[in-house]
Formats: sequence, C-alpha cells, structure tokens
Amino acid sequence: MKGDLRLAVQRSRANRWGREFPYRHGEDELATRRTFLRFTVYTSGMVFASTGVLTALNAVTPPARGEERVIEGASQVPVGGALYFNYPGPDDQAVLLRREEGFVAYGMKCTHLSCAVYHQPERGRLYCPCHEGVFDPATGEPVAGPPRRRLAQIELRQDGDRLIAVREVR
Amino acid sequence: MRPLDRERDVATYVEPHVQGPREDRATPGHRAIVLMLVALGGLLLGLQLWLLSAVHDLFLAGEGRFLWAAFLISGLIFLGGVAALRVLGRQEEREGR
Repeated sequence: MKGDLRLAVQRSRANRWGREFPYRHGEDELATRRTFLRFTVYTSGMVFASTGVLTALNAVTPPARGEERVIEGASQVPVGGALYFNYPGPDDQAVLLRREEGFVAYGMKCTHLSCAVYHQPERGRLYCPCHEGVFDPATGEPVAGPPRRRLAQIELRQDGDRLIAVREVR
Repeated sequence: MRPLDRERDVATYVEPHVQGPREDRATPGHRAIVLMLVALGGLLLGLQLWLLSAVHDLFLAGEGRFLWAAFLISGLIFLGGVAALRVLGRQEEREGR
C-alpha cells in the first residue's frame, strides 16, 4: 500500500516534468556518423591550412635580423653589471651583460608573453616581473616560471675597444 | 517515456534495422568497426591539433627544422579524411541511397 502510494507520487512528479519540459522524440534530429565525419574533415582542413600558414611564414621570415652597430658605453660596464640598449630596431630593447667570461647580450622580450625582462645582479638572473619568469644570464635559457623558450640572443663582436652587435638570432 | 513516444521511436529508429533493406541491417560487429573508424578519425584530428600547437611553438622559437614534416603529416591526415568521404559518397551512389 505504502509502495503504491510512493509509485503514484513518483509518476505524478514525472508527468509534471513532462508537461513543463515537453520533448518530442519523433521530431528529434540525430547527427549521423556521415555528418560527424564531414564536420571532422572540414575541421581537419582548417587545421592543415593553419599549419601551412605557419610553415610558410617561417620560410619567409629571416631567422636573424639587425645590422652591425657599435654598443656605446660597453667598455664602462663593470663585471657583473648590465647595460640596456636598443637593438636591432630603435624600439627593441636589449640588455648587455658583462660576465667574467666576457660579454653576452639578449633581447629583453620575454618569450612567454613579451613583457620586458630585467637583470637582477644581486640574484644573478634575468627576471620577468609579469609572471615571474626567470632566465639564465649565461645562456638565456628559461630556468623557472612559464617561459619555455630561450631569449633572443644578440651576437657580439669585439673590434679593438669597441663592442659591436652583429645580429639578433631567435 | 510515454507509450506513444516509445512506439514512435521504435517505428523511426528500430524497425528500419530489423525490417528494412539489407544494407541498413548493420550487424553488431559491423557497427563496432564503423564506430572504431569514427573514433580513429577523432583521434587523428586530435593529433593534427597537437601538431599545430607544436608547429606554433617551433615557429615562435625560430626552429624550422620539423615544420615541413609536421605540415606533411597534417596534410596526409586531411587527405585521408577527404578520401574516406569520397569512398563513402561513391558507395552511397552505388547503392542508390
């Protein structure tokens, strides 16, 4: 008796749900496997085209840029110090580090989201304050934080007392 | 589900497989193979997306060595999908569906 009552209550609730949210099974449209396959192939075509665009861009983009330019004031940088300068373009920031082994220079654009990277001599690192990315000043390789690629390296050449930036290599 | 809905569903989706023409009566084994191929297509699309992300990363890093290989693999997957669509389309035409 009690079970019948519970069943009646459940049916009543189910009917109410059906009244408030009617669903016509016969009018439902099913996606066929063929439709799914067609959609998959179209998506595959778009992904292929995007891959092609990146490959073509890589083919036409030169791997290195910049022309030879003297870095003014490089000889006055103490060992362990840094000099900020612009290279290869007038709006591109770069940092020159004087280490015991010699000079190294990197583009200051973080390889994560392009924030400016700063030299922190007291901690011996290149630091990006946006997302706490850290780079090794000896090699430019990322050592902590979200960046996964090394900093753009600037090739240097010593010409007597003058230090010359030759080109920037990604 | 109301009895009327159930009857309509049975008439729409079940009966064609039981009483319909021979080519519509897919056996359970045949259905499993088709589903496996559809799943394989989905997996290959996933592989293509992964290749695209790898290509993007390599492009930003300025390392173009593997870009052409990734491009070719992606193209082969796409062509495979196009070929599968054409084969199925021809089969459909041949069976007059």
